[in-house]
Amino acid sequence: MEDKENIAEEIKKLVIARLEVFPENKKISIGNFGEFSKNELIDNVNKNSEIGNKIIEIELEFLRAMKKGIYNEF
Amino acid sequence: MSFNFLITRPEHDDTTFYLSVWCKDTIKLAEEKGAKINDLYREKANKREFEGRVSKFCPDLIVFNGHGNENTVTGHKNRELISIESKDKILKLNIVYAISCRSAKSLGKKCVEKGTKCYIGYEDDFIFVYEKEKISHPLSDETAHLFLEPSNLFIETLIKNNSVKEALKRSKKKIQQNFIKILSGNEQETTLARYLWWNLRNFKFHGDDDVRVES
Repeated sequence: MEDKENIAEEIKKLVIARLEVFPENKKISIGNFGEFSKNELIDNVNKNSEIGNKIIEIELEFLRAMKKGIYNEF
Repeated sequence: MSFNFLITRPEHDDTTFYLSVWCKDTIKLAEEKGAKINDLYREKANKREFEGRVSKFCPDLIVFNGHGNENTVTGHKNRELISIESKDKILKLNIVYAISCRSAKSLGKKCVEKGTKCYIGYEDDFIFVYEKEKISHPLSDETAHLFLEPSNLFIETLIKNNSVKEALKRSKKKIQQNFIKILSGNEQETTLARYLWWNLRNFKFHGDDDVRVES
Protein backbone atom coordinates (compact mmCIF):
# COMPACT_ATOMS: atom_id res chain seq x y z
CA MET A 1 0.00 0.00 0.00
CA GLU A 2 2.79 2.35 1.00
CA ASP A 3 4.66 1.45 -2.19
CA LYS A 4 1.63 2.33 -4.33
CA GLU A 5 1.32 5.68 -2.60
CA ASN A 6 5.00 6.37 -3.14
CA ILE A 7 4.71 5.53 -6.82
CA ALA A 8 1.67 7.81 -7.16
CA GLU A 9 3.61 10.63 -5.50
CA GLU A 10 6.60 10.06 -7.78
CA ILE A 11 4.37 10.14 -10.84
CA LYS A 12 2.76 13.34 -9.63
CA LYS A 13 6.19 14.93 -9.21
CA LEU A 14 7.16 13.85 -12.71
CA VAL A 15 4.00 15.34 -14.22
CA ILE A 16 4.43 18.59 -12.32
CA ALA A 17 8.04 18.83 -13.48
CA ARG A 18 6.77 18.61 -17.08
CA LEU A 19 4.07 21.18 -16.42
CA GLU A 20 6.61 23.60 -14.96
CA VAL A 21 7.93 23.99 -18.52
CA PHE A 22 4.46 24.77 -19.95
CA PRO A 23 4.57 28.32 -21.39
CA GLU A 24 3.27 31.03 -19.02
CA ASN A 25 1.60 32.94 -21.85
CA LYS A 26 -0.60 30.04 -22.94
CA LYS A 27 -3.73 28.30 -21.73
CA ILE A 28 -5.04 24.86 -22.48
CA SER A 29 -8.61 23.97 -23.37
CA ILE A 30 -9.53 20.49 -22.18
CA GLY A 31 -13.04 19.77 -23.36
CA ASN A 32 -15.73 20.01 -20.74
CA PHE A 33 -13.18 20.62 -18.03
CA GLY A 34 -12.60 24.15 -19.30
CA GLU A 35 -9.53 26.31 -19.81
CA PHE A 36 -6.45 26.29 -17.58
CA SER A 37 -3.23 28.19 -17.11
CA LYS A 38 0.01 26.45 -16.17
CA ASN A 39 -0.44 27.20 -12.44
CA GLU A 40 -4.04 25.99 -12.48
CA LEU A 41 -2.92 22.71 -14.06
CA ILE A 42 -0.25 22.25 -11.39
CA ASP A 43 -2.75 23.03 -8.61
CA ASN A 44 -5.16 20.45 -10.00
CA VAL A 45 -2.49 17.77 -10.18
CA ASN A 46 -1.49 18.53 -6.59
CA LYS A 47 -5.12 18.31 -5.46
CA ASN A 48 -5.74 15.00 -7.28
CA SER A 49 -8.81 16.58 -8.90
CA GLU A 50 -10.52 15.02 -11.91
CA ILE A 51 -8.69 17.33 -14.30
CA GLY A 52 -5.44 16.71 -12.43
CA ASN A 53 -5.89 12.99 -12.94
CA LYS A 54 -6.67 13.55 -16.62
CA ILE A 55 -3.38 15.44 -17.03
CA ILE A 56 -1.54 12.58 -15.34
CA GLU A 57 -3.27 10.08 -17.63
CA ILE A 58 -2.25 12.02 -20.75
CA GLU A 59 1.35 12.29 -19.57
CA LEU A 60 1.64 8.58 -18.78
CA GLU A 61 -0.03 7.52 -22.02
CA PHE A 62 2.30 9.81 -23.95
CA LEU A 63 5.37 8.38 -22.23
CA ARG A 64 4.18 4.83 -22.97
CA ALA A 65 3.61 5.75 -26.63
CA MET A 66 7.10 7.30 -26.82
CA LYS A 67 8.57 4.12 -25.45
CA LYS A 68 6.69 1.96 -27.98
CA GLY A 69 7.57 4.27 -30.85
CA ILE A 70 5.15 7.12 -31.29
CA TYR A 71 5.46 7.23 -35.08
CA ASN A 72 3.64 3.90 -35.28
CA GLU A 73 0.52 5.83 -34.38
CA PHE A 74 0.76 8.31 -37.22
CA MET B 1 -21.95 20.66 -56.79
CA SER B 2 -24.68 21.35 -54.29
CA PHE B 3 -24.94 19.88 -50.85
CA ASN B 4 -26.46 20.81 -47.55
CA PHE B 5 -24.03 21.76 -44.80
CA LEU B 6 -25.14 22.22 -41.20
CA ILE B 7 -22.69 23.62 -38.68
CA THR B 8 -23.20 24.50 -35.03
CA ARG B 9 -21.26 27.39 -33.52
CA PRO B 10 -22.08 28.06 -29.89
CA GLU B 11 -20.02 30.85 -28.33
CA HIS B 12 -20.17 30.99 -24.56
CA ASP B 13 -16.59 30.38 -23.36
CA ASP B 14 -13.02 30.57 -24.70
CA THR B 15 -13.21 27.08 -26.18
CA THR B 16 -16.45 27.52 -28.11
CA PHE B 17 -15.41 31.03 -29.21
CA TYR B 18 -12.15 29.70 -30.68
CA LEU B 19 -13.85 26.80 -32.43
CA SER B 20 -16.58 29.06 -33.80
CA VAL B 21 -14.17 31.63 -35.23
CA TRP B 22 -11.76 29.02 -36.58
CA CYS B 23 -14.39 27.21 -38.63
CA LYS B 24 -15.63 30.35 -40.45
CA ASP B 25 -13.29 29.65 -43.36
CA THR B 26 -14.87 26.24 -43.86
CA ILE B 27 -18.29 27.90 -44.16
CA LYS B 28 -16.87 30.31 -46.73
CA LEU B 29 -15.39 27.43 -48.70
CA ALA B 30 -18.68 25.53 -48.62
CA GLU B 31 -20.49 28.64 -49.89
CA GLU B 32 -18.00 28.94 -52.74
CA LYS B 33 -18.71 25.31 -53.60
CA GLY B 34 -22.40 26.14 -53.82
CA ALA B 35 -23.51 24.47 -50.62
CA LYS B 36 -26.69 25.40 -48.82
CA ILE B 37 -25.51 26.51 -45.37
CA ASN B 38 -27.33 26.04 -42.08
CA ASP B 39 -25.18 28.02 -39.65
CA LEU B 40 -26.53 27.49 -36.13
CA TYR B 41 -24.67 30.36 -34.48
CA ARG B 42 -24.82 31.19 -30.76
CA GLU B 43 -28.46 30.99 -29.53
CA LYS B 44 -29.46 29.20 -32.73
CA ALA B 45 -27.30 26.28 -31.68
CA ASN B 46 -30.22 24.75 -29.80
CA LYS B 47 -32.03 21.44 -29.97
CA ARG B 48 -35.26 22.73 -31.54
CA GLU B 49 -33.41 24.51 -34.32
CA PHE B 50 -31.07 21.55 -34.89
CA GLU B 51 -33.81 18.94 -35.06
CA GLY B 52 -35.92 21.19 -37.29
CA ARG B 53 -33.10 21.67 -39.81
CA VAL B 54 -32.19 17.98 -39.78
CA SER B 55 -35.80 16.95 -40.43
CA LYS B 56 -36.27 19.57 -43.17
CA PHE B 57 -32.96 19.44 -45.04
CA CYS B 58 -31.30 16.07 -44.22
CA PRO B 59 -27.85 17.75 -44.29
CA ASP B 60 -25.16 15.91 -46.23
CA LEU B 61 -22.54 17.13 -43.78
CA ILE B 62 -22.96 18.13 -40.14
CA VAL B 63 -20.15 19.69 -38.11
CA PHE B 64 -20.66 20.11 -34.39
CA ASN B 65 -18.46 22.62 -32.59
CA GLY B 66 -19.01 22.51 -28.88
CA HIS B 67 -18.82 20.49 -25.74
CA GLY B 68 -20.06 17.01 -25.11
CA ASN B 69 -19.52 13.68 -23.48
CA GLU B 70 -19.75 10.02 -24.48
CA ASN B 71 -23.50 10.27 -24.99
CA THR B 72 -24.20 13.87 -25.93
CA VAL B 73 -23.15 16.86 -27.98
CA THR B 74 -24.22 20.25 -26.68
CA GLY B 75 -24.90 23.62 -28.23
CA HIS B 76 -25.04 27.16 -26.89
CA LYS B 77 -24.58 27.39 -23.11
CA ASN B 78 -23.96 23.63 -23.01
CA ARG B 79 -27.59 22.73 -23.67
CA GLU B 80 -28.07 19.33 -25.30
CA LEU B 81 -28.39 19.19 -29.10
CA ILE B 82 -28.28 15.46 -29.72
CA SER B 83 -27.82 12.41 -27.52
CA ILE B 84 -28.11 8.64 -27.60
CA GLU B 85 -31.66 9.23 -26.31
CA SER B 86 -32.63 11.33 -29.35
CA LYS B 87 -35.31 10.00 -31.70
CA ASP B 88 -34.13 7.50 -34.32
CA LYS B 89 -34.79 9.94 -37.18
CA ILE B 90 -32.43 12.47 -35.54
CA LEU B 91 -29.72 9.85 -35.11
CA LYS B 92 -29.95 8.76 -38.75
CA LEU B 93 -27.67 11.28 -40.45
CA ASN B 94 -25.25 11.42 -43.37
CA ILE B 95 -21.68 12.49 -42.52
CA VAL B 96 -21.11 13.91 -39.04
CA TYR B 97 -17.91 15.44 -37.65
CA ALA B 98 -18.01 16.36 -33.96
CA ILE B 99 -15.28 18.66 -32.62
CA SER B 100 -16.55 17.81 -29.23
CA CYS B 101 -15.22 15.68 -26.45
CA ARG B 102 -15.73 11.94 -26.29
CA SER B 103 -18.85 11.74 -28.44
CA ALA B 104 -17.29 9.24 -30.86
CA LYS B 105 -17.25 6.74 -28.03
CA SER B 106 -20.99 6.07 -27.61
CA LEU B 107 -23.02 8.66 -29.51
CA GLY B 108 -21.06 8.03 -32.72
CA LYS B 109 -21.61 4.29 -32.50
CA LYS B 110 -25.29 4.76 -31.72
CA CYS B 111 -25.77 7.10 -34.69
CA VAL B 112 -24.20 4.55 -37.03
CA GLU B 113 -26.39 1.78 -35.57
CA LYS B 114 -29.39 3.98 -36.40
CA GLY B 115 -28.27 4.55 -39.98
CA THR B 116 -25.77 7.42 -39.98
CA LYS B 117 -23.35 6.87 -42.86
CA CYS B 118 -20.22 7.98 -41.01
CA TYR B 119 -19.57 9.63 -37.65
CA ILE B 120 -16.13 11.09 -36.99
CA GLY B 121 -15.09 12.55 -33.68
CA TYR B 122 -12.98 12.12 -30.59
CA GLU B 123 -13.20 9.24 -28.15
CA ASP B 124 -11.69 11.29 -25.33
CA ASP B 125 -11.29 14.99 -24.61
CA PHE B 126 -10.38 17.23 -27.55
CA ILE B 127 -7.53 19.48 -26.45
CA PHE B 128 -6.00 22.63 -27.83
CA VAL B 129 -3.55 25.19 -26.50
CA TYR B 130 -3.93 28.92 -27.16
CA GLU B 131 -2.23 32.20 -26.37
CA LYS B 132 -3.77 34.30 -23.61
CA GLU B 133 -3.19 37.58 -25.43
CA LYS B 134 -4.82 36.31 -28.64
CA ILE B 135 -8.19 35.58 -27.09
CA SER B 136 -9.85 38.43 -28.98
CA HIS B 137 -8.06 37.53 -32.25
CA PRO B 138 -8.10 33.73 -32.42
CA LEU B 139 -7.16 33.55 -36.09
CA SER B 140 -3.78 35.19 -35.41
CA ASP B 141 -3.03 32.64 -32.68
CA GLU B 142 -0.13 30.58 -34.03
CA THR B 143 -0.36 28.11 -31.15
CA ALA B 144 -4.06 27.36 -31.65
CA HIS B 145 -3.28 27.05 -35.35
CA LEU B 146 -1.22 23.91 -34.67
CA PHE B 147 -4.26 22.20 -33.16
CA LEU B 148 -7.17 23.61 -35.15
CA GLU B 149 -5.62 23.63 -38.64
CA PRO B 150 -5.74 19.79 -38.93
CA SER B 151 -9.39 19.83 -37.89
CA ASN B 152 -10.24 22.51 -40.46
CA LEU B 153 -8.32 20.59 -43.11
CA PHE B 154 -10.51 17.57 -42.38
CA ILE B 155 -13.67 19.61 -43.02
CA GLU B 156 -12.25 21.32 -46.11
CA THR B 157 -11.25 17.99 -47.61
CA LEU B 158 -14.79 16.70 -47.14
CA ILE B 159 -16.27 19.89 -48.63
CA LYS B 160 -14.11 19.32 -51.72
CA ASN B 161 -15.98 16.02 -52.06
CA ASN B 162 -13.20 13.70 -51.02
CA SER B 163 -14.02 10.60 -49.00
CA VAL B 164 -13.90 10.50 -45.22
CA LYS B 165 -10.93 8.14 -45.60
CA GLU B 166 -9.00 10.73 -47.61
CA ALA B 167 -9.96 13.56 -45.24
CA LEU B 168 -8.75 11.55 -42.25
CA LYS B 169 -5.51 10.74 -44.02
CA ARG B 170 -4.78 14.41 -44.85
CA SER B 171 -5.78 15.63 -41.40
CA LYS B 172 -3.63 13.06 -39.61
CA LYS B 173 -0.73 13.92 -41.88
CA LYS B 174 -1.12 17.57 -40.89
CA ILE B 175 -1.15 16.60 -37.19
CA GLN B 176 2.05 14.66 -37.80
CA GLN B 177 3.68 17.68 -39.50
CA ASN B 178 2.64 19.98 -36.66
CA PHE B 179 3.86 17.45 -34.11
CA ILE B 180 7.33 17.47 -35.70
CA LYS B 181 7.24 21.27 -35.90
CA ILE B 182 6.50 21.48 -32.16
CA LEU B 183 9.25 19.00 -31.31
CA SER B 184 11.77 20.99 -33.25
CA GLY B 185 10.89 24.17 -31.30
CA ASN B 186 12.19 25.35 -27.94
CA GLU B 187 11.80 23.35 -24.72
CA GLN B 188 8.59 25.14 -23.73
CA GLU B 189 6.98 24.46 -27.09
CA THR B 190 7.84 20.77 -26.97
CA THR B 191 5.53 20.35 -23.95
CA LEU B 192 2.61 20.93 -26.32
CA ALA B 193 3.39 17.84 -28.41
CA ARG B 194 1.67 15.43 -26.01
CA TYR B 195 -1.66 17.24 -26.48
CA LEU B 196 -1.48 17.13 -30.25
CA TRP B 197 -0.67 13.43 -30.05
CA TRP B 198 -3.65 12.98 -27.70
CA ASN B 199 -6.05 14.40 -30.29
CA LEU B 200 -4.59 12.15 -32.96
CA ARG B 201 -4.95 9.08 -30.78
CA ASN B 202 -8.60 9.82 -30.09
CA PHE B 203 -9.61 10.91 -33.60
CA LYS B 204 -11.89 8.03 -34.72
CA PHE B 205 -14.66 7.22 -37.11
CA HIS B 206 -17.59 4.82 -37.13
CA GLY B 207 -19.42 3.69 -40.25
CA ASP B 208 -18.36 3.84 -43.88
CA ASP B 209 -15.22 5.91 -44.49
CA ASP B 210 -15.64 5.69 -48.28
CA VAL B 211 -18.59 8.11 -48.22
CA ARG B 212 -18.46 11.66 -49.61
CA VAL B 213 -20.76 14.64 -49.12
CA GLU B 214 -22.02 14.17 -52.65
CA SER B 215 -22.26 10.59 -53.74
